[in-house]
Amino acid sequence: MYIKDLHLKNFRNYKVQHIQFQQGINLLIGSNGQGKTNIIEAINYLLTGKSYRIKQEDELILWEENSFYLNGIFNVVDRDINLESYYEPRKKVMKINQLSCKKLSDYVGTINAVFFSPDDLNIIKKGPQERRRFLDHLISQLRPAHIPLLNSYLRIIKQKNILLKSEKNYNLLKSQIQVWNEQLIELGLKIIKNRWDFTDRLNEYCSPIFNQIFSPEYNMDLIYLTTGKSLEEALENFPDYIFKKMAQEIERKAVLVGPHRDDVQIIFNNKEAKLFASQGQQRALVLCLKLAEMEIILNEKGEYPILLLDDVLSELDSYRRQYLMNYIRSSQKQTIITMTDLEEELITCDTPIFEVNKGRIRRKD
Amino acid sequence: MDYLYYPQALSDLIISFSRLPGVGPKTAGRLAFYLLQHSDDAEQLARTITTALREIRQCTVCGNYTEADPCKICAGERRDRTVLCIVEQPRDVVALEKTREFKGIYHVLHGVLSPMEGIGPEQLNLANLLKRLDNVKEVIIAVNPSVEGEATALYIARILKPLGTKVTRIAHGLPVGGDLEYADEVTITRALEGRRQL
Ligand SMILES: Nc1ncnc2c1ncn2[C@@H]1O[C@H](COP(=O)(O)OP(=O)(O)OP(=O)(O)O)[C@@H](O)[C@H]1O
Ligand SMILES: [Mg+2]
Ligand SMILES: [Zn+2]
Repeated sequence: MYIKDLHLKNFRNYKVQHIQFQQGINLLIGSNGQGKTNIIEAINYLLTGKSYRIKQEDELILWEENSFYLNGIFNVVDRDINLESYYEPRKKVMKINQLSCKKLSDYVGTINAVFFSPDDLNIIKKGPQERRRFLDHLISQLRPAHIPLLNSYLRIIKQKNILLKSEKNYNLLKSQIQVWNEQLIELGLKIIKNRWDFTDRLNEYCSPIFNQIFSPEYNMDLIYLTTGKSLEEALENFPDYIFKKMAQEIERKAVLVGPHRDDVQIIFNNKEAKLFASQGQQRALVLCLKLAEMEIILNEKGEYPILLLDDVLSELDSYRRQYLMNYIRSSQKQTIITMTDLEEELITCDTPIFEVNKGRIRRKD
Repeated sequence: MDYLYYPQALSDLIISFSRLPGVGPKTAGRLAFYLLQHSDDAEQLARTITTALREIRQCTVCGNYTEADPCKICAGERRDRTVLCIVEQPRDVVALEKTREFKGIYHVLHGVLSPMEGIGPEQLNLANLLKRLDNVKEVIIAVNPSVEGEATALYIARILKPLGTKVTRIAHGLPVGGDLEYADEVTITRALEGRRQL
């Protein structure tokens, strides 16, 4: 799948902009703060209805304007698909081929992209939340039903937390906890199952990639940390855990168990990568995860997703960078790469180069 | 905000409008200015609101809005008193009545369990429900399929089960997160047919 055309109106620092991308590699070149990442963000927003960099959509609107509009033409299995996003405060419209979507889950996953930026190092470095987010994002791309599942689950957790803090009458508290728990278990089990399945798949696809990126004496393993050591055990234990923790939850006035507290442990060379892998090794591990994501989507959709590389090439050592370049060049995949300075090794005579300058884009001929 | 620069009475009016559901500050201002320019409409509106507040009360039996107490449905001789349908809001009664499929009686909760909004069992119209079950063979819970609606349905089912009443839940055919109010009649009818036992 690939993006052919992108129109932006009042999005970030772009007033009106049209870009025609090509299959294969596309380069966005410009100094700091000119609007390269904003383009990647626009594509991401168009595909997912979300942006990882914002708290509120209002931040995406060009300053002093009231709304933004994005329109993209994508190609998937030889068909063109038109995606549109319009946003003004308190009104959000997402369309596929001119038809409005009522729910985000109708929209997400139509076209897939894998996005890789230096911030992704947080998947390894930071807390469980980052790893759950990475996993949930991948699942949502391929199983859009995971989105309402997560939303409902998180809402139950929020309601239960407030209930634990606010209900003074013990009997009423207990009888209400039971009904929230009943749903928490039902949805929690589905989330654990989805996450477990996709951790397995990541493992499967990571290892061949890993063996090419690292020397063979190393290994990599992902472990989904939840209520059991196998999926069956986890699913069986989960309801019991919830019941057993009830007294403690009442005492501590907080929800203490559930997949919103699970983690995906990343093991490198038999030790936790977060603690023992070097900075460069951590980067290479993230590269592995991202390329595994590419392969999983290929496997499921029959086509590679769009690969969006924001500023990452300069951060990899020459061996891994060469590996990544070979990966990008082999077989059909569209890649949009941002960088501050043009690196000749990346281009062939027909590689489109887009110069980004203060919210304007010009194709260099 | 702009309305701080307006005369007190005008800004009070704007603020009152902006408290209404679905009305933002812009629309609130537009409505307020409109009413000032069209005093006939404004007085008519004020009278209608006063009358509605005076005449409309909650039916002491089912909780639905009514002028006469008990309401027409509770007093109706043709209604099947063996089937009772529990809904969230009075407007859900309207949605179900429009289908003309349901011949039983209703019970309006005026909300669903939602700790976030400070709504617990005691804030719902539940106490009256237990007094109404003598001849009831089936209770249909038709609250919206949100997580709050589901929690409420389970809560009620847990109370009613020991009393031996058959409790069913309609959910099929209604969009998750969608309001009963906006579901069309075909959807509601199908939902009524596909109810499941709790
Ligand atoms: N809502 C907005 N309206 C107008 N300009 C904005 C808005 N949000 C961000 N900007 C501007 O966009 C620019 C940042 O763009 P972007 O993050 O795409 O830069 P970049 O080209 O990726 O830079 P770098 O090389 O440093 O990563 C900044 O100059 C910022 O002030
Ligand atoms: Mg950038
Ligand atoms: Zn009544």
